[in-house]
Amino acid sequence: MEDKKKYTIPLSKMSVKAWPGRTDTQGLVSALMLSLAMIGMLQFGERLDTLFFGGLFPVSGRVIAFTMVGLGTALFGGVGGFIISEINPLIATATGTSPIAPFWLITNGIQVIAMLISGAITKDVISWKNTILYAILASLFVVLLYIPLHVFYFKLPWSKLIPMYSFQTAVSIPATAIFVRGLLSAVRKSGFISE
Amino acid sequence: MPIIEFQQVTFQYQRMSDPVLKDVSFAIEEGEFVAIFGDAKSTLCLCISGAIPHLIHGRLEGNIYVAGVHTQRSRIAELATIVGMVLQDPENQLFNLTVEADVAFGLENLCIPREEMDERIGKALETVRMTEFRSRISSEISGGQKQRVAIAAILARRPSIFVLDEPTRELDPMGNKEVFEVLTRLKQEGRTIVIVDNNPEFVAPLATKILYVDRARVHVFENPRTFFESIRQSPIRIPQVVDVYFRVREKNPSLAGDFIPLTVEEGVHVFGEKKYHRS
Amino acid sequence: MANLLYTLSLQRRSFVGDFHPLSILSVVGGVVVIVFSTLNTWVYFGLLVFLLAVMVVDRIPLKQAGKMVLVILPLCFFITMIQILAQSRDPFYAVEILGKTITFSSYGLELGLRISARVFLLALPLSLFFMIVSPMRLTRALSDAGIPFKYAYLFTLGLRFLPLVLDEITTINNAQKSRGYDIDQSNFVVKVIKIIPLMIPLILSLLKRAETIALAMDLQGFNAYEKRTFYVQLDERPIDRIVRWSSLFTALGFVAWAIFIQP
Repeated sequence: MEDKKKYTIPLSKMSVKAWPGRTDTQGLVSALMLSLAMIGMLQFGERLDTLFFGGLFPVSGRVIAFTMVGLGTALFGGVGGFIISEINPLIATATGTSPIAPFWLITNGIQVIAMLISGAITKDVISWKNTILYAILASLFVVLLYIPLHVFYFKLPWSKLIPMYSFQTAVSIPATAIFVRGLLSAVRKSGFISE
Repeated sequence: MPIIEFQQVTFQYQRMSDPVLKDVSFAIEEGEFVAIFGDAKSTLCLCISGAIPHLIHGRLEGNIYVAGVHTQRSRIAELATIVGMVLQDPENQLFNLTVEADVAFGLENLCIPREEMDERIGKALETVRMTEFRSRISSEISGGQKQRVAIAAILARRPSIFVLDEPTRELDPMGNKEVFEVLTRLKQEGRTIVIVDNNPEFVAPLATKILYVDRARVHVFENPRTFFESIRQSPIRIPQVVDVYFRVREKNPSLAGDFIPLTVEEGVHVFGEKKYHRS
Repeated sequence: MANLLYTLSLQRRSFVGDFHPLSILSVVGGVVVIVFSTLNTWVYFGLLVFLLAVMVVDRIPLKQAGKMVLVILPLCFFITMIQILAQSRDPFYAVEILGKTITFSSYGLELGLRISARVFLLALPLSLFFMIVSPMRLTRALSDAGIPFKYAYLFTLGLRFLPLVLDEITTINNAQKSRGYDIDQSNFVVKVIKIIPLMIPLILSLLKRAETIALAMDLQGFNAYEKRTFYVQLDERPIDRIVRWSSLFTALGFVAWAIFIQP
């Protein structure tokens, strides 16, 4: 049986500890709590997004998802990030909070990859460089994933998709970068993290 | 052999500059009901349960033995069969969706055979008077009931030692009463109990020993009455009946006498047959 | 708490619920594959009848399906509207706005309605799954299937603490309102920005709570040993194997039909 180690949360040293990150009980439970926080906050955003094409092109939902998944991955590494991203749609479905949540299973997961990549490149997750790069990568990956969904599944025409993707991306990149940076700074200042 | 023994234990949290426990030595015998007052109470509880040093980091020196087992050299799983710990907030101690599943949780973790589980769960719930709630959803019961389920979860594991860190802090008076009724029963059964609680009215009558932590040192009082006498000038809250006794003794020592009452019944016995004369 | 979908599975035993969770999951998977493979109205009708029959047999209130329809109605409305406006085949109406002609397509209407049905038929089986299968049985099934228990258990743990987290959000929202910070009384743009003073205290309080929960779990020996025993018993009956293989072959059959035969 492995010895229980006290992990330092892989903040600002992502390239070494990003994968698998924290897999101790506290790391897993913390990631789970962030996932539940995401569900709660998405309920705020859902009302707004429903006004915009019934939730087909969510804006606030996307910002919240990018923020929470990015935050969790930066704090707890890859496994923590995947817990936030994948548990969230399952619990949202199981509680009836959002029956279409299963659509997010893949798009949420890709955001974890985005943060792992940006963290590996910038080597400092709390920096503006990292959060902006993460926001760009996450937006790009999600748009690329949504194209087959919207084109083949929802049968939406290209001409209508491009302006919507552009609007979503234009809002989500700066908002995500600001939110993730702000939250990471707040968590570090709170003293929860030992580096 | 004492069931809990601290030998020159010093502990300092990772980010603190001074140790919270310094050269602490004491022993607790089996069947004792020990109350902890003062500073670093939770730290003592966490040391007994093995959470320090396995789950909470810092610098720990000295030796801690529980039922003869050295806590630093044992795994937390082994210690979980010897020490059961109840924390402050019952919401954070029930992780499953039903009461039955919560009581079974620890048994599953410790690989207790399925055939044994039913009996253990049944007995544990009976002891805390929660049998009829067995199939209930955990989040739908009250705070006091949740804390009783948390105690049942420990009872099912059959540890030698119960450690309770402010188990009634988040509870209303009714919940408070329910928990202490359970603890009274456990004491009558001869269990070893170590408790931190801010309700001295409930704790004092049950305690057979007091540990008082003051400036990182532990003082042992074999008699709760002498403890309350010695901390009169400190900010620690004492039972109301003890407070009344001290005030009366200040004004009229002959009326109060030497016996310090710990309960209302004892207080009635001390004061009830005497008349108070205005001078 | 009583309104959360999965609580139905906790409150009773049912005929369908007695199947192995992975068997039920295989049926759900089969339905999902079929829905993805075709837009055929009759297939969708057949699937809907099947799912409603499961609800009737398992005594799941049909109003749960109705609730789901209400939730996804805005999405379905917009999908249909976009198709009506975007498709050019079979126009039934045209209107001129600012010198531009906008046509409304009946083909688009039909397509939009089929896609809406597809959305509903994807959402319903998974929701039904959680109404039928108790989370504890699901955790046991996932653990038996090889997923480490500490990960399989997170789902149950999440369901347990979700109501607390939602209460915490309400408390923080009310606390901020009492300081004059009312997110509900703002326009869209301001609302998005105003979420930050909710997020920070929420995240910090949840991280603090996670510390205590993890400590309590570890003190109960969580994840102490690689193997563990289970109180929940799961029997794999011959019928479970039949169900799984049937689901697989049915789904594959539909995919083949959709690719090679469907007009």
